Amino acid sequence: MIDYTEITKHLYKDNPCFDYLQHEASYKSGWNKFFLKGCKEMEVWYNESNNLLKVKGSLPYYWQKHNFTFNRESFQGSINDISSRLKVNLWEAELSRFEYGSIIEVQAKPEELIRHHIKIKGMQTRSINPDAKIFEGIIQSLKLYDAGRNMKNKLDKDIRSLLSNDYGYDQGKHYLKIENHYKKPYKALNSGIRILVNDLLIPEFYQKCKNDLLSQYRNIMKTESILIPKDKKSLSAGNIILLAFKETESLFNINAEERINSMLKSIPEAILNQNDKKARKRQIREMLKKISDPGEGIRAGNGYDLYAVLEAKLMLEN
Amino acid sequence: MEFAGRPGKITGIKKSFPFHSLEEKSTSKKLIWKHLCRKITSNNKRDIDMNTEFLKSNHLQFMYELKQGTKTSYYLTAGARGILPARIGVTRESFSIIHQTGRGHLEKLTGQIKATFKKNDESIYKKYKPGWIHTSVYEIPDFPVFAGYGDIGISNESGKTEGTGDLLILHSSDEWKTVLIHIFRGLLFQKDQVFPYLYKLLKQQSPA
Repeated sequence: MIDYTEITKHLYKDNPCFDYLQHEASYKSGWNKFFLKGCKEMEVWYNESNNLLKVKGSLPYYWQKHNFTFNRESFQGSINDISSRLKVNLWEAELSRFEYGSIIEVQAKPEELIRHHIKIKGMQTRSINPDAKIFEGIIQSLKLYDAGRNMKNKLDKDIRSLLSNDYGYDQGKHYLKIENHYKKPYKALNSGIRILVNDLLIPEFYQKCKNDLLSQYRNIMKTESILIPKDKKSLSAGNIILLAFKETESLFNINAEERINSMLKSIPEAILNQNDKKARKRQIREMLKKISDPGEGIRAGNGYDLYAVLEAKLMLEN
Repeated sequence: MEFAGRPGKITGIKKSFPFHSLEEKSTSKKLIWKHLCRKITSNNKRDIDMNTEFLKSNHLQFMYELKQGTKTSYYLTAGARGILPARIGVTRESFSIIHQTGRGHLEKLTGQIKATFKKNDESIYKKYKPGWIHTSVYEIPDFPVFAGYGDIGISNESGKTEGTGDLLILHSSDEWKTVLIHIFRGLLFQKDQVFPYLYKLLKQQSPA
């Protein structure tokens, strides 16, 4: 679903209608900032000398006061509404930035899931707080955040009860939002050719957004799900370090056991003799066996790769 | 004895691709297929180009401006004369009405175009009295950038409105101060190819 959008319209001889706008500020650069009356979520920027009009904000929040869902009809309704208020055809305006994402229901706490999504090659990882992470690129970024908490904090009770009745929202469940933020959508999705707002209604283009979200998600390096031993004895400080090491082995494309063995080998005989080394090797192997043998521990996070869940959700979205 | 057209055998091109050995024969066969495939691809490409050319040659464009002090009366300001009347009436449906059309699906009516030719006017659409044009405009779900499309209806022998099969697409960039009328002659039933073509054209023409 579409969320935040930034639309730029080059005006010809026509002037936008200001009847529904509330003036907020004027800048030396010639830009004037407005809000659509009664809705602080939707900003309208107008530069008379450049003949430019920008509309920025979250369309779902503007149209329905939440972003739990936002279908094609609602998207169409919101653009038609703003177009008629401004008396400007926004369908033929340029899509300068936008967000496309999906909210999925997850079994584990989003915070824990987010922690196990480590990085995307070529992108910077930013973590504002434990329940949000951004993989920042030049053209686009990928955001993961706790959508459940966001809704609890942002939405009125009335809206939440409406979501429960009409859209199956359950306050007790966990929700994670996975979202692509396109800073230069024409480069990310359209081989450098500009994108108009109408493109978002063309099925082929919308499918492209879905595919890109899936492929960006697939690019995230995730930690492997590991087993945490049930007994306290097995959880010595040394073993916890081993667990953490094992967890990150897939990320760095290494074999934890091989690395440990080579480390053992490199320790001089004077410090650890052959028998000491053998004993430690045996202990480490036992510990590794415990965390890789299902049934002897508690699986942390029930698996961290949410690709299949996201794919299934996107298939249902229109 | 060899049969022409036998599976696996390529005939009729032996002269230009002489085979000398078995190995060479197999390589040459590959080359022939490559040659044929390239030929088919280039023919297809030509078809696509021709299609665009075809759409282009059947495309007529008219610009009308709203007459001051009126809400529905528009006057022709650009485009070929002698096809559409100089003055037309364009009404917009305030509440979209859903129609079950003869084409078997539901369509939203977004507006109507009504016009009558003057006594001295000459046009391909002026055949019988009273010489009117009447077009219902329907929503294009994938392309809301356009106000809608319709079949250009004209008055027939019995004075009733009859479809011409000419596709009309209505477009306005400035909230109906000016309207653009695109006509694609005889292409009503190819509308699904016309909409993306016109959209692409709009993208190319509007400022970057």
